[in-house]
Amino acid sequence: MSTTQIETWAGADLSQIGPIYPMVGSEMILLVIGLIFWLGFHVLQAGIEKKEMEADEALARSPERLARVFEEEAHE
Amino acid sequence: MDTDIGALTVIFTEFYYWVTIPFMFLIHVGFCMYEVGATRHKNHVHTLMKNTMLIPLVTVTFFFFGWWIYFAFPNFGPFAGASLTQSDNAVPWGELMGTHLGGPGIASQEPVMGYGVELGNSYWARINGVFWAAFLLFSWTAASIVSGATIERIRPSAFWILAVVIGSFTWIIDAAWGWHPDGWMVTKLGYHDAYASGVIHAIAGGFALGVVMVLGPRIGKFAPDGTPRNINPHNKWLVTIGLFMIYCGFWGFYVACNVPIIDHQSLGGAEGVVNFTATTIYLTPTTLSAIVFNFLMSLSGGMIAGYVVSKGEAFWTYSAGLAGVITASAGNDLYHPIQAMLIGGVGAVFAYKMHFWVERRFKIDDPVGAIAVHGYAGFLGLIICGFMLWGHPATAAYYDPATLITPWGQLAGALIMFVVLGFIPAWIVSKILHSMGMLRVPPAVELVGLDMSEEIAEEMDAIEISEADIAEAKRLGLLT
Repeated sequence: MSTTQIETWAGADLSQIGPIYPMVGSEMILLVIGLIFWLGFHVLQAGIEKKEMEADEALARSPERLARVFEEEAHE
Repeated sequence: MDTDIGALTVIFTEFYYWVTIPFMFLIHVGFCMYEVGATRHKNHVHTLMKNTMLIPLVTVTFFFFGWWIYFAFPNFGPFAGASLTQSDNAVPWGELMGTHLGGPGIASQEPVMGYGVELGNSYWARINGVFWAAFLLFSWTAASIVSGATIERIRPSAFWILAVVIGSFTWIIDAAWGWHPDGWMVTKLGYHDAYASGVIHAIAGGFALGVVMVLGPRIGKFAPDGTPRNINPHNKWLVTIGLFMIYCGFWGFYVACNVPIIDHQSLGGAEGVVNFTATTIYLTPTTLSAIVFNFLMSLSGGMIAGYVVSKGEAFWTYSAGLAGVITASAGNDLYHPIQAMLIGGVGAVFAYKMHFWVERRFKIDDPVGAIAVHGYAGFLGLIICGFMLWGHPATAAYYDPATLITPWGQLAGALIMFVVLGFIPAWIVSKILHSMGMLRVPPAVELVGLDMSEEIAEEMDAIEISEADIAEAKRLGLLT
């Protein structure tokens, strides 16, 4: 029993062996999962970033913080 | 793999491309250092992560569809009879996109198309991953060039969408069309761009310009009367070391643009004569010696001219070195080294002058000069190549008669790279993102800095630790 096509290398003719990753035949399912993983990042991150920007925008209303940032910027 | 010479050729080619990959990683290290150095303190972390996260996003999408586009699109252009090419080695569900020993496999694989067709699965099983990765690192570079032009005001999530568009879609279409031995721009226009003046640099510069035109300048960049203000790099050392890193990575980039060893006879050269040679990506003969000569001479030409024209300014002297290489790259497989040096010098001056002229005239804020160094220099390099190599065959020996390099073929190619596949897609996608309110950070956040949340959190952490230390000191009787 092996998740790959190989159970022993003894006497193996490599020229006759193709893919040796686990679960050959599941490539299309893996692709669909991979696409969901990738697109999920964009969707989730866009939402997270929107909330962060709103929170940052509210914090940026602080005159003291702005003054401090500008003071530091003037000395960079 | 069934003869000694066949096996050695394949294994050497596999190792050759692998070696280029860590070299090209240095390009990305350099870009990150350079961008962070050019950014004001209040935006450091976001600038770093914006560029860093393009690595995984472009990588996975280049696996999902970028690699397939390269092999499927060479004959899929704006002309009658255009069609997709079968490309079994590159479809993401194909067995050759994983650990494979080259045998028949489970699925019935048709003979693979493209390079090494006569070697079939056994060739692609060894070469596919390293060749994919070499191209992928070019993809990171293309996206990273755009990253620099957008610092301090683009939303990271918008940039990552744009990075996927150029990194896994538009640049690889241009590679299929103009950086492939059978690409229609090569076979019909005689387009020649051996080390990617256009296929990486002009397209990335055009793409960056399209984004920046929609994005707009940073707050404070232009005075009310339109005069540009200098927003100087926060850390010039980091900027210059970053550019040095890019120089180092460029060695891998150049070497990865070649096919290291192939018998010219098999490509349509003289029959019965074994002629092993390195070739360009177009399968036209060149040598590693030629490109080493020309890389260093064009770099030097750019640096010398850049130092003079910028009056010894460090940032522009380093950037001018890059502009020199980029301008000469289209023909650096063939130029004489002194020609490469002079072309590099011309490109550096052109990029420098164009950057400031465009900034003043059109109010374009390109904080790192990426559009000029990559876009304008790359565009100019293609045109120069058309004159310098006029009449030289653009196509490999198996095209008889050959399609020849011409100035008008190069001009058409430059416009396709910079405008059609660079500027236009970027402008459209940026407009869409802008209309959705996703492109630019809110003005208040831009003013106070993108890293504000992180800085506040760090301040709170520091206060908490300080209070804990004080409490412990009191418990020990050190403080009362």
